[in-house]
Amino acid sequence: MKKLFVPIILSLWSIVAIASGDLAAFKAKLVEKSLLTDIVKLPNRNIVAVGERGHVIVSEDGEKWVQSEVPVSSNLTAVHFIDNRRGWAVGHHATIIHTSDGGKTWFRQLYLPDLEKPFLDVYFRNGKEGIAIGAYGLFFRTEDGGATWSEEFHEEFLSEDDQFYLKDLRLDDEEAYENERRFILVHFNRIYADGVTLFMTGENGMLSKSNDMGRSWIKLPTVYIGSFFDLIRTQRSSLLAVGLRGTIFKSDDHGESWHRVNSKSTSTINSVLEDQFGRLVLVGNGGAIMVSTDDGKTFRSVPLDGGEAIVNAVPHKNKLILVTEAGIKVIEAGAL
Amino acid sequence: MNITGFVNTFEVAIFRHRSAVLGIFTLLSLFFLYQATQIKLDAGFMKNIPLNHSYMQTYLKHREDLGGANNILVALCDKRSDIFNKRFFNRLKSVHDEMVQIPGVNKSQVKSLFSPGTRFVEVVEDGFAGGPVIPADFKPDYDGLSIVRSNIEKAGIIGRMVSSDFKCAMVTAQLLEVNPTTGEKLDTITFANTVEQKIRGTFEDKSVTIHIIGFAKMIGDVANGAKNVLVFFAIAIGITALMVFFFSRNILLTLLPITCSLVAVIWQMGLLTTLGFGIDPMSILVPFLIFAIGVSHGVQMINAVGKQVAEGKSSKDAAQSSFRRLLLPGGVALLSDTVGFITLLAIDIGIIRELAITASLGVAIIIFTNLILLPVLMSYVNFSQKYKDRVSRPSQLAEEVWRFFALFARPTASKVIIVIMIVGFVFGFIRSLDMKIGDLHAGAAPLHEYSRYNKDTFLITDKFAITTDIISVIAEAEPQSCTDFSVMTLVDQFQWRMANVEGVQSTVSLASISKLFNAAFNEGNPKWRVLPRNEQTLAQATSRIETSSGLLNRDCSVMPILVFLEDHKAETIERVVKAAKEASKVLDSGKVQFKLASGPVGVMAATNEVVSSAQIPMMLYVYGAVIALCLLSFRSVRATISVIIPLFIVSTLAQALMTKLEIGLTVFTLPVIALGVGIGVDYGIYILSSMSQQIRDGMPIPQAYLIALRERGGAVLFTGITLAIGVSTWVFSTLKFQMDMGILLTFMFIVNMLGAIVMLPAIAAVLWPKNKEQRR
Repeated sequence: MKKLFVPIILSLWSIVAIASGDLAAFKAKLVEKSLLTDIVKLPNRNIVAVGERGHVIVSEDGEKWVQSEVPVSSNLTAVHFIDNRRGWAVGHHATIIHTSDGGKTWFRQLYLPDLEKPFLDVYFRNGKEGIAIGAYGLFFRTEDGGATWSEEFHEEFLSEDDQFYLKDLRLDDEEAYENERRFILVHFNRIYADGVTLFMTGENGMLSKSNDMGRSWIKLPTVYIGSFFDLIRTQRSSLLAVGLRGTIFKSDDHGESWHRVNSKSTSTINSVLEDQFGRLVLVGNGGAIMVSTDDGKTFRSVPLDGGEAIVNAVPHKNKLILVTEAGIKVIEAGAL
Repeated sequence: MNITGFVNTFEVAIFRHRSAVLGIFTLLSLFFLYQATQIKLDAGFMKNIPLNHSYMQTYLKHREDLGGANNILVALCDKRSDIFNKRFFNRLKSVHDEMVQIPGVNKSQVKSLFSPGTRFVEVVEDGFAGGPVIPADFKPDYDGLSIVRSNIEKAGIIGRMVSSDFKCAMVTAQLLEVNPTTGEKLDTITFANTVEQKIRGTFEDKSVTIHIIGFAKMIGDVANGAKNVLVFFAIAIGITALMVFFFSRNILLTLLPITCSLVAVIWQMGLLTTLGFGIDPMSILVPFLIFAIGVSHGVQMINAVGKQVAEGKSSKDAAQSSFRRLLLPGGVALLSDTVGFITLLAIDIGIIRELAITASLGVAIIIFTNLILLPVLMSYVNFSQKYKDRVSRPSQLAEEVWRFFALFARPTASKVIIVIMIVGFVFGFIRSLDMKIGDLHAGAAPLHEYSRYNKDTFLITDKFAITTDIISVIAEAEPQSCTDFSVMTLVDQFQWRMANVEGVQSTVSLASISKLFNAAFNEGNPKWRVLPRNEQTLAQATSRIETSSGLLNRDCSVMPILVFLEDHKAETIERVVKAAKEASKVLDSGKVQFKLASGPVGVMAATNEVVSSAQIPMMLYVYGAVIALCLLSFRSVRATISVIIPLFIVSTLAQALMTKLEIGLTVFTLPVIALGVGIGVDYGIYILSSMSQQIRDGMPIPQAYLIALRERGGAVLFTGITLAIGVSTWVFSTLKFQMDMGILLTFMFIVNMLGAIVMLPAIAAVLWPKNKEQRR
């Protein structure tokens, strides 16, 4: 597989970014009630959530939240930690920020508003090697903990026709080629690390895996035309992919073949997780919460009162902490 | 010519031509009576707002584009079940159709489930799907209603058009201030009555209840409540007549002052029509006041005439000399009332100015009816010997009372009283500092909390995610700013700052809705709920929002940020306005400015600011005028101090009372202070003018005061009680603001009277110590 590398000099972009006048996140009392898009639990049980306007909040007990110092006000879309201290968050305007104190203070590593693309997820294997993915095939990699980031273009996600088309265009008109290439790829929505194997889900039913930290990707069979937003390896080693309009697909052969699971819902599912009881929990728009106790064969719907869109969740003690369009919501896991 | 010379000439002229004077009065009264029968209740939205305030200038500038604050909301609630049944939907459709037909309604801005603009959109695999919430082929059967129910959920109109418990649905309409075809101004009261009859009257029954709110409806209810005032008026006249009879023990002497005062009311109402004014429900209480003031001055007159007749003068001589004796103090007192009212003109709010004009006209008229007409009429009265005997025989009880009151002017007592006054003043002053500006309670302030209108307000704000407490801040920018990322970002940041202010329930703007649309364009993914930086993508998101939403104007140069508040208490409004001003200081740029304010609370904010900034100038004017008039008539600084200090203490105590009773300083209560001071000064003027000659002659104060009490004490006591009774009936009014005004005026009249009887002699005793020494 061929890859195109576009190296970026970090310092140059920082200057551009400062000139564009992006404000630091405004500290606000409603931050816990504003749109939140991702949540993670650190090994020390601290919880970090991110969301709109550069909001990052940290909690030690899942009840009290403190807003962090963040140098951007772009909407953040995902957060990832490798230990109790080091973490990265990504978001709109191709923003990447980094913390090394458990999420209290953050520093900007990348900010490219003129790309007009958001990052949608971030993954680090260790303190050095990480990737950030996003809309229109946005793909950045670092080998030095984010001090420098370089862009990759994953041509392998193009159909053969599109690959030929791009090649021809390049010969005719270099500028048209560059423009076309900017938006030709699908959205990359989520990375799931299953040991050393990475799974990536995306638009147009995209499911793929990589065994070399995302340098090359193997496309899994296309079984659905809508978007997949998340994927998980179940306890009994099945794969479960979830997405638009209540779509659930299950594979019992590591992604070779897939079959649809009936969710009895048309609500888009944003995330899937395993809760403290080993059950599979799906969360989604319209307050959708679905629970499976049979490894994803069947699901039971227990929607959230108020019907706010839920983007993700983490188990905490006997509760589930949800990040929703109306901020943090806490529910009893046992009641599901 | 000096004043005495003028009074003499005037007296001679009037009493030489008594029949001519009566003829002129009769003719004028007939004319004004005819005019008064033509008087109209006249209420309007514009009169209630301080039009020249900068917030209202912003409001007026964008009213055409964005629709104004003048909406009407009609909620239909099913009492038995949820709304998904045939009967309810048929009823809802009838109400919607009827609303469109009501004159004054902007036909294109009637919104409900049945309006064509009510659509739903949902995300499907290949893009959007959508349609009207109520499909064209809708039938109110089980299947049809299930479709509508799921469409309602998709359309995101729960809380706006349908209550969150699915038991109520809403029809909203905007009103046109001016009829575009005829150019006529909206007649708010007629409109309100039409809505009451055609909507509630026609469509409410056991199964479906109808709840109507909105400024126009409120004014309608206020006007209806104001009509009940006639009953209070009759009661007040009855009680007053009894009081006068008790005072004079003579039917004719009871009828004369009452008649003259009614003549004053008739003239006043007639004059209003002649000058082209109507009477506003808010100032319908003024005739009461005029009547009561008229009676109180009339009583001074019959008191004076009676006493002189008893001394053996003929009716004509007695009337003539009373005229001469009272024209000056009465004229000064009434003039100070008039000035008190006129100072209200300083407040730039239509209805307060109308009140000022109405009331000052009325008081000026009393000078004619009760200081001229009344003595002329009395000069014709034949007093029986029995009457003369009774009046000339001093009442033992009265004499004892006056002697007791005269003790207040004794050296020790006067000092004690002054200490008490100072303590009272300090206490009152501290409490008065806590007086709040604006409305302190939920619901529409002019009406009681238990009124139908406010119950409807509470029901609607409870069932729907709607509050009538909205202030909108208007972002003014270049045309086509909807597609300018930097402008939209500033609007968004402004909105977020406002959302975080304490007391703000929620906010909405073009920016926040655009973000929702952008997410909708991206498969409904919350991670895409942003303002796109790309111009075309931003245009795609904003272009889905219609101007009828009130969130933008046609060329997208005006984008209001609607801020929904938890209440409209003055401190909430102040906090929000302050935050908005701070935010605009930070975020205003060359491309966009944030201007206050529209929406009902925008109007309140402007009104509160006008009222609060008018308070001190108004007090300065009214006290300035009263002091000038006292100086002019007494030619003595000490006399003026004796009259003014009690007044000032009483108005401070009145403010403390407002704090205690949780009555805010509003358009309605602000005038009370001016009225109270203007009328309250009368007592002091009557008492002191009777004492001043004796004081000048060096008579000790207690003695001079006793003489004054014998001459006018009865009339002053009586006046205070009469005025208090006249206004205290308002306490039973169906209108909250009339109740508040009634309480405050009753307090001011009674306590001002006590001030004149207790404080004035004490102050005088301290100020003229020499008179006291002489006595020793």
